[in-house]
Amino acid sequence: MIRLRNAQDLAAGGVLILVAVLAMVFADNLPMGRLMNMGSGFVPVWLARLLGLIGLIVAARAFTIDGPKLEIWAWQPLIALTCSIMVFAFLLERAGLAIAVMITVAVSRVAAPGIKFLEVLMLGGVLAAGSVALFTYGLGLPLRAWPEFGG
Amino acid sequence: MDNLFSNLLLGFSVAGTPANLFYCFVGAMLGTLIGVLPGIGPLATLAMLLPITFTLPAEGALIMLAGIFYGAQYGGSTTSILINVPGESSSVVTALDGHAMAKQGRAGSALAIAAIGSFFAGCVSTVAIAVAGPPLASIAQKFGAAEYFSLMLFGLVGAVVLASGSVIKAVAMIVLGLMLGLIGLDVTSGHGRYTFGIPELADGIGFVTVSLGLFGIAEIMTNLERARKAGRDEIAPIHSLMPTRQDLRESWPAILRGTAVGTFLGILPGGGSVLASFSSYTLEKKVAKDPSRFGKGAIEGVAGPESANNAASQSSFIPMLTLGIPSNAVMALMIGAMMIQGITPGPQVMTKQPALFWGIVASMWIGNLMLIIINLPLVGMWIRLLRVPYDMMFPAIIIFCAIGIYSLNNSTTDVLFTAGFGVVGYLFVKLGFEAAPLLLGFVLGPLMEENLRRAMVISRGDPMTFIERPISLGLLIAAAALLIIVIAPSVRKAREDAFQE
Repeated sequence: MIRLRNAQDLAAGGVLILVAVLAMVFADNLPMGRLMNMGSGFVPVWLARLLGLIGLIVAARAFTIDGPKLEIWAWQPLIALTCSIMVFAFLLERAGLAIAVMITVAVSRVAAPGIKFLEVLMLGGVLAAGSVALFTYGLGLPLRAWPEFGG
Repeated sequence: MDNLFSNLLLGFSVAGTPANLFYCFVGAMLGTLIGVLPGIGPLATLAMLLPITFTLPAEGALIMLAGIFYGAQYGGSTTSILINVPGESSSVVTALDGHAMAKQGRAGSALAIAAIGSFFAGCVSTVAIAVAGPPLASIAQKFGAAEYFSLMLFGLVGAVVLASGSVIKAVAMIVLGLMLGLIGLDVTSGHGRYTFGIPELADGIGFVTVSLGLFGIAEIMTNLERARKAGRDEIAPIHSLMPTRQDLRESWPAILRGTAVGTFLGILPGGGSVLASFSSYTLEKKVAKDPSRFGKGAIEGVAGPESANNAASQSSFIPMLTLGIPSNAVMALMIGAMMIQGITPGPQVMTKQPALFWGIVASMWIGNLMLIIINLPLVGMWIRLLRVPYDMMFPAIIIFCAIGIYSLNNSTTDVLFTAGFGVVGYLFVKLGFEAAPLLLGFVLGPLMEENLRRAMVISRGDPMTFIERPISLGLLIAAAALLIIVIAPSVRKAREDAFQE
């Protein structure tokens, strides 16, 4: 009887196959050309086929070779850190470096347990002051420190 | 021989200018500073610090990056000796006996021997680069498109074979990396590939975006996850930094052996510091009179791997500088940095920009000297850094990464992509994929496609060209042999055992 021995590989193979299919779909409009004069689609399509094949092998191995189960995801660090960087991208040009750093620090700190409000405030303040001093004034990078008022 | 000296002299005159000495120093310091943080290896350190080198002139930038690399490796060893949390896989070995020594109150000896061994290995491998570089580059200058394609294929296969973990999954990562490298406008036809109408994607995905996301951000995520499961380790106290006479007597043969093993393994595609330190540790255990001492504070177990690790990280510059082929992910990062500086990696670097080439070689030696001078006295400062809670450290690292990636192109899109690659990197960890081969594929992808297409045009569409040209055939046979070897069951078993240790 076929038994799943390696859930991690089944998922890994599935991801690879998905990427391969998407890559083939999106390379569909590119010309393949001939060997002597390859079109822009030649290499993408063949790589996607290769990746799909590898994905099938990896998925098939999940039923033949023992391996690890799927690990539990630590959602808190993943979401907090991802959001913090996105928040930084959103705020930097709108609110300036100082405010962007403060809020990014606060959001990223959610990734680890045991948040103390005062500690986060101080860390954010120190990092904001430090980065404005170092990057805006020290290195002279084109990073606006403060939001533009009245603009 | 005359040439060797005049070349090295040129190198030292470039690396010895006050500005370049300064960059080397700053690089080594910053590298150690970040590398000492538990759980952050040289690759992540380089990815995080890469943006700050972009404003420098090419020589300064590469000298600084090399400094960061050694510094990070050095910092990693310090951490693994003192708190048994290796920053990266090549320090895992150092932690075995290094931390055991620290528990016995011999942390100072372990640190000193690690430094001395690294410095000695650094000196030897600097000379190795200077000697082996020119002949290799002159061979490579005869290469045509077909040879280059086969060489890169050989490099990728080697990276798969020597990587730890599953072979098929490493191949998958390489192919994925090659595919990521396709994104952007096709140079020949001008067609947009996988650009999804996003104008920022026309130039392709930035190298820093990928490496910082996959290695920097994802590494912080996994560190936080791990920190929640395990508590903090005690930091071992340091009594004296002077190794005893007996320590030295026991270490020097191990340092010599480690240097030899490391210099050799670093040149191989896919080789580098991890493989070198593992192999050296195994070798030391084999030649030791009493192997049972290992793992309980045998100083050879620190001296050998630390020397091997440094020798390999330096000799892996040989294929990178002379052939333009990265043998591991760190070198892929260095190549990425060169391209950003407008330098096309390859054998012509040595002939067209001798000052750059020899300057980097000389700066390696200077960097090693600086590390031994600044690090032993500063070890107290690094320990204080280890006491700073990670909860305060990681938001700072995030800020630093975000500002760095933004200031590359003043683009918030790059920042968003980096966040995306952080998520992808975390997914890879959870699915048991090792991301390092992906970076190799990503860097080599565009070059491989270009050379493949060119070779096909030259041969009028005849794929036999790869087999008819002797150098190309040789490289392909070597690649096939490597693949067969690794798939063969007996070798597979031995390899698994080696990585188990």
